[in-house]
Amino acid sequence: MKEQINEERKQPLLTVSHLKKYFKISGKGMLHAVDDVSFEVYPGETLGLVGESGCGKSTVGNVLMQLLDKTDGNVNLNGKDMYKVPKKEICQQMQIIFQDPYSSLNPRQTIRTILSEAYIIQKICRKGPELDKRLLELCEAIGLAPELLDRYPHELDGGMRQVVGIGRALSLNPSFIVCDEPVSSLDVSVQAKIINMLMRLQRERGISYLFISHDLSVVRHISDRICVMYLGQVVEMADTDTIFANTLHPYSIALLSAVPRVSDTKVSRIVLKGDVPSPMNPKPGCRFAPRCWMARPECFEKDPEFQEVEPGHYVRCFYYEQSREEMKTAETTGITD
Amino acid sequence: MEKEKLLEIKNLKVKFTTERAVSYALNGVNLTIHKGESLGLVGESGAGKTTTALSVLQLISKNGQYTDGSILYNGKELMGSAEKEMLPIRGHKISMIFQNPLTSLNPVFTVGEQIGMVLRQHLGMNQKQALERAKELLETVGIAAYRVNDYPVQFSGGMRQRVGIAAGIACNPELLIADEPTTALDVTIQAQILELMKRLQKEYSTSLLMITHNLGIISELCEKVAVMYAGRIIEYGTVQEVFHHPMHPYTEGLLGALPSLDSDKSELTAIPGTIANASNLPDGCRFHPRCVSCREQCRKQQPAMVQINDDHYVECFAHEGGTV
Repeated sequence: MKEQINEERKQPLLTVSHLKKYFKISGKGMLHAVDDVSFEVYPGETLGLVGESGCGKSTVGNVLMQLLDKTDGNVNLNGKDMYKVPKKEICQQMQIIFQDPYSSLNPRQTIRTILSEAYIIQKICRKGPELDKRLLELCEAIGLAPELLDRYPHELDGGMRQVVGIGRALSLNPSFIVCDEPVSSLDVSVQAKIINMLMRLQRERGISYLFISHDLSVVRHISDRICVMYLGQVVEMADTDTIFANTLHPYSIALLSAVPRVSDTKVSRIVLKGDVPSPMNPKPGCRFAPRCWMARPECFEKDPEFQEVEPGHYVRCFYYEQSREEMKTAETTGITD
Repeated sequence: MEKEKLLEIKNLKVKFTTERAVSYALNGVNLTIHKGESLGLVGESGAGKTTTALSVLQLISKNGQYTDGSILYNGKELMGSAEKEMLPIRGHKISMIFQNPLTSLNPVFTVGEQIGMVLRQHLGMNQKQALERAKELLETVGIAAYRVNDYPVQFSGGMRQRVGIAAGIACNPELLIADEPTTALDVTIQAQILELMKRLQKEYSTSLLMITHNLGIISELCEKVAVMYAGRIIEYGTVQEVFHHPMHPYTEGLLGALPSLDSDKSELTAIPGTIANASNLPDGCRFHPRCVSCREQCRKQQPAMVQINDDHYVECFAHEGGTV
């Protein structure tokens, strides 16, 4: 399932470098939603983007899809500056699946209209037998009964609607799909179905995914590589096995230990104090320092670099070498604010 | 060692009538909570978890109707109790923590007033005593006492939920019902709340009914677990037994559908079909249309709860006779 792409690294499909997105909030200043994010997505791989709410995961996805303008930085698609390629062309290569299958489908359109829209806008075919044929193929790919084509979204349940959302993203056969929390509003049994489907489609068509989610076990299951985000920055990036076996950033360690597990493996838990601070006008220094359980004076003054500590493993922390040692000795911290 | 029964729900049936349909939310729930025990109630949305909890407090909405069953609390029948009899129980003997800390607190009262309200109502404290006690309670849940005069909007989601917990434990209840207390929260905040609940459970030895769809939380916090499907408990037992030797195909399916942090599963086993529609329930075993090992009998007859061993019960024909 998780193919090793480490050997003979292919050309990246998507290169994001130093991407920034600030929002101006009147009277308050700048909200740093995405602050200097860099990563690459290779053909046929899934890059998981995890973090808590408000860390900027979805903003990254929306900026990539040009649903929001960037503040600074560069995005290259197939080696070309994405912002210089006509939008219509981008749409053929990049698509997005939204979180909420209830609000992302137009309630006044039938499933048929929703799924045909892309073909018609891109002038691939007109209404008629050609379009019908394509829709049937699409239905088969996503496992949607063709009878449902003439229904309206409200007649379908959440899982089926998300299937339609996936179908819409797939219709132009894109090479890259941003999956923005595609399963978090679904029940476990339905969630499994959607995840299996996304993985099957990837095997069949070689699509790359940017899989945005707050659910670590889902991300672990589906991703080849994982980025952990905190307050607009990527704090750690590595392939899935490495990030779970050799977690280095103190935030990633705390995040992983926070997940309640069904299995017997007892993990010593690091309980972070307080809440995620506001991304408004951030102070200099490491963003995580105020909640960090191993913060040192230096962390509050200087910004740590996003550095490669072993091949393919990037960490944004001054003291990553000590983190695993300290975790062993760290007591499960009491709950105080 | 037989523990004393605190709450016993027997054959509870609830239906809701709307203009368009009648939906059968609970179809014979049997559940027992012993003193000092923590029970997890798990199931997907629409399984009837919250309705069960609200029934215990006799709080289901106007269009709901209890059609059968009994709820015994310390041997006293709660079903059909007058509002006057329920008042001293609600929030005092049995209290509840709600899912959404944003909507369960009143925005126009300070948190101190809201916690104090419970104390004044049930313990007859005066305003000043209540405020003092509210400060102590806030400290217990990890909020600085000086914030007692702040309004809910001034708190973050995690802290609001702590206020909810403080109000819930204010009268030292015998049973605390927590309805998805962490679903609206982030993982690291969820971890804070879970650690807090673990600590409180140890200190106050309150019985806990934990409602969640997150199997991981149950595994951490509870001794016993009950799995719900279409308004019935389909499997019940100790967490160890149920999660490691699931007997009901639905429980197996749920566990198989869950991606794991610790092991690699090549493919998740999705449960075919969708959750049974409460206004159009299938005959026989409610799970049979989705069941991989469905037999003829399952289509016609409702299976009875079978005891597998001391710590494990399951409602499935495949295990009839109690053989493993």
